Amino acid sequence: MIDFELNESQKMIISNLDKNLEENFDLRIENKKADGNKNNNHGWDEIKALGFLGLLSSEKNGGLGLSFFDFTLTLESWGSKLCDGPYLENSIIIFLLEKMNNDYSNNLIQEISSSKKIITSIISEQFIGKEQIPMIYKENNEYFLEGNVKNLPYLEQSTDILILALLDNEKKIVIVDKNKLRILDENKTITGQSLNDINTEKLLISKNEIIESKEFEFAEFYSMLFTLAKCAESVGIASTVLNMTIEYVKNREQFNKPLASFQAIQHSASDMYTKLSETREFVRYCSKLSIDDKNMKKYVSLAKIKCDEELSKIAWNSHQIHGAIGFTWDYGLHLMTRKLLLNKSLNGDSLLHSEIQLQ
Amino acid sequence: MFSKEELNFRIQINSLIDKFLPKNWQKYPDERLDEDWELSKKIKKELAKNNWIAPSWPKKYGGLDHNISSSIILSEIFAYRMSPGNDRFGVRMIGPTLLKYGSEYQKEKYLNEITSGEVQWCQGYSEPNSGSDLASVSTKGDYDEEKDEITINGTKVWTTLGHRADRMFILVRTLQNSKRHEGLSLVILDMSDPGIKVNPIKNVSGSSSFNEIVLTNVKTSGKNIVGKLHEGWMVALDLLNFERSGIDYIGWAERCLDDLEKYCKDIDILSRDHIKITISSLRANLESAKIMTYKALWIKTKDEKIHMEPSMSKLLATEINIKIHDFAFEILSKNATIKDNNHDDFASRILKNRFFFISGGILGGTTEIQKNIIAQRGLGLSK
Ligand SMILES: Cc1cc2nc3c(=O)[nH]c(=O)nc-3n(C[C@H](O)[C@H](O)[C@H](O)COP(=O)(O)OP(=O)(O)OC[C@H]3O[C@@H](n4cnc5c(N)ncnc54)[C@H](O)[C@@H]3O)c2cc1C
Repeated sequence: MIDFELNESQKMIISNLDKNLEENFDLRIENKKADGNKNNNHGWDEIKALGFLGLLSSEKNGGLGLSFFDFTLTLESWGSKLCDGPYLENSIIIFLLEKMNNDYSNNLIQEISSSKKIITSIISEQFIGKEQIPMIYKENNEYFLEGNVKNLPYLEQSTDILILALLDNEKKIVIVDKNKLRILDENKTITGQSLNDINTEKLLISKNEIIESKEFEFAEFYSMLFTLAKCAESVGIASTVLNMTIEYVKNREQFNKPLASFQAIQHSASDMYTKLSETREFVRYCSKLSIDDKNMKKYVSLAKIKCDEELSKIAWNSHQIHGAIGFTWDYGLHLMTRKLLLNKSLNGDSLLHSEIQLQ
Repeated sequence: MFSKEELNFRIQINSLIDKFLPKNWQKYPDERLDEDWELSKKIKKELAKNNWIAPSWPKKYGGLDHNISSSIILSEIFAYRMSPGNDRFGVRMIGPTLLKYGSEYQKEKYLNEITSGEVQWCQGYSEPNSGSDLASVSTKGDYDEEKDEITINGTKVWTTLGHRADRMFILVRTLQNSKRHEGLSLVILDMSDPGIKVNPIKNVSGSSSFNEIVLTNVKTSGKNIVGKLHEGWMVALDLLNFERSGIDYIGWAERCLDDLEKYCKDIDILSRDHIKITISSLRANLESAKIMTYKALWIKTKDEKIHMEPSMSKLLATEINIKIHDFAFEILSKNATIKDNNHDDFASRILKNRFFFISGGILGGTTEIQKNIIAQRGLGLSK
């Protein structure tokens, strides 16, 4: 049945989250972060305090048992306030662990939902071949992990790392305690976020740390869901860009009239609004598909292509509409643009997704 | 298009830049930085030695009596090489305006200063409440007839190189309560006046190329009014027409496209159909926009009219520059957004410049205003 309306509980979750995330949102602090002078994970503490890490875990595991679509709605709010922290990673890990439904996975879900364990990962980048994949090898019945993992986000906030590794050419997922790893370089994204390179250097791992997922390819599903989650986050970021733009053109006057009264500005703003609405509905549609749906893979790629094509364009147009004020660092519009460009550059480019969707 | 001598001039300018610019120079010059500013001064001095700062100006003002081609070559090469030392405000804005409207005193003094390469100018047009609507400027200029002196009070904003400039040409309201376009005057100021305070503003690419300028009781002689008192509007507009053309954007765009093509070749993706088609389309649009900028610069030398070509070529040049940078970003992607130990200078330059080039659609009259001008003044479509 066609239905675009959000239900009452979805509306309540979003308005509650919006209110909480709004409180500590400060563009000046975000600007300092982008300048590399401050680490700031706005929204992360709020998400934990609200119990949102358990959003996708079943009631049996102490969670709220909500759908992936509900989760992506929260990401629109999360993105709109430029939040940062391993919310997406941990939620998706929980979502996939739920599918495994064994003692190990249930235990892990409960630990993550209660923030006892926080996991970080870049398996989506590893899966699409954009980051290195370490090896697992067996020696005297013991397993060792060897290799580097590059550009890991949120190391500081995490206790463990989920890594894609190869054992006899087979993809495996390993969860490793952060303290067992050697931290190499610190890198920075254009938003000022810290990323770390780590080295596993013949790390002894127990069989337990290797996740077996027979029914589905953990890494592939993680990669798809993470891509979609990032799309929803970007939609949220772009909606803030649109709101800032509308607010500005209503208030700024030139030629004794508000900018909003010029047709050129109206057309530009209406294009932004139309494209954003279209992209948002498409991402929402894709997020409603079940991961067992045979079209899921194709639609994730289509969503990524659509977001890449439209959302940073909305930001660039907004800079144009703002005039010189939007060219200043302190105004903060560039923070959204940076985050949109960063998201665009992750999880594969249009060429990769074109190939996937054509398969 | 260019004669043998002109092509030779191109080689000479390139070798002059070679002498100063470090090898592998990969950045848009940031004249806020002392090192870039020093480099800019050195290059200008060297250009001045050969009368190359403004080669199309008359010899008596330090030029070479060349036609406009030399100026085109100069601007294009400086942009392509991303070299500091190309004086936009002196050579391309106030200089031609003084040649057309200036008194003999002004030409003698200021044009020779510009071609000596030792004096930096800035442009005091925009104000916090007067951007596109330039005719609404409210900075006050009180003219004292007895002393033949103007006293200026107000705030200008977005003043590029205001922190480095020795002189400013400034648009002020000399007749209070006058109609919008009337009672304005274009005046020359000395930036060392104690009444001038310069506050830097940081831009989205992370550097501080522009400033807020607060003027409190700044005095200048009546001899520094360009054109007639209270009749500065047309002079100011004409100056803007000199500012446009977009020739720099052509140089920056061409450099980016050449580097991108080489990059695609190096990483072995140039043979892919969509890369070939996109690069070729960008190249075609770049070359055609380039010809249009040449025409815009040439037509200004033909007669005194205000033409549409500068508005058109500014639109075309800024648009193709953005398209090329956006495509470069598509290709470079993660290399541009994440700075790790593999990170390459080309990728970080593309991203920094892409942010910087937001300004192309804004400064010197925004894209929307150019379109209004073309429709209303060019095509006669009513307001
Ligand atoms: C990097 C940079 C350097 C600059 N350097 C200088 C300098 O050295 N000296 C100087 O004097 N100024 C400088 N400027 C200022 C520049 O000239 C102004 O930014 C420009 O004129 C636009 O004014 P504004 O920024 O106030 O935008 P606004 O005029 O507020 O315009 C905002 C938006 O509304 C649109 N708009 C406005 N009026 C209309 C209309 N009638 N119809 C349709 N759309 C309209 C504009 O196109 C724009 O998209 C610089 C600007 C930048 C970004």
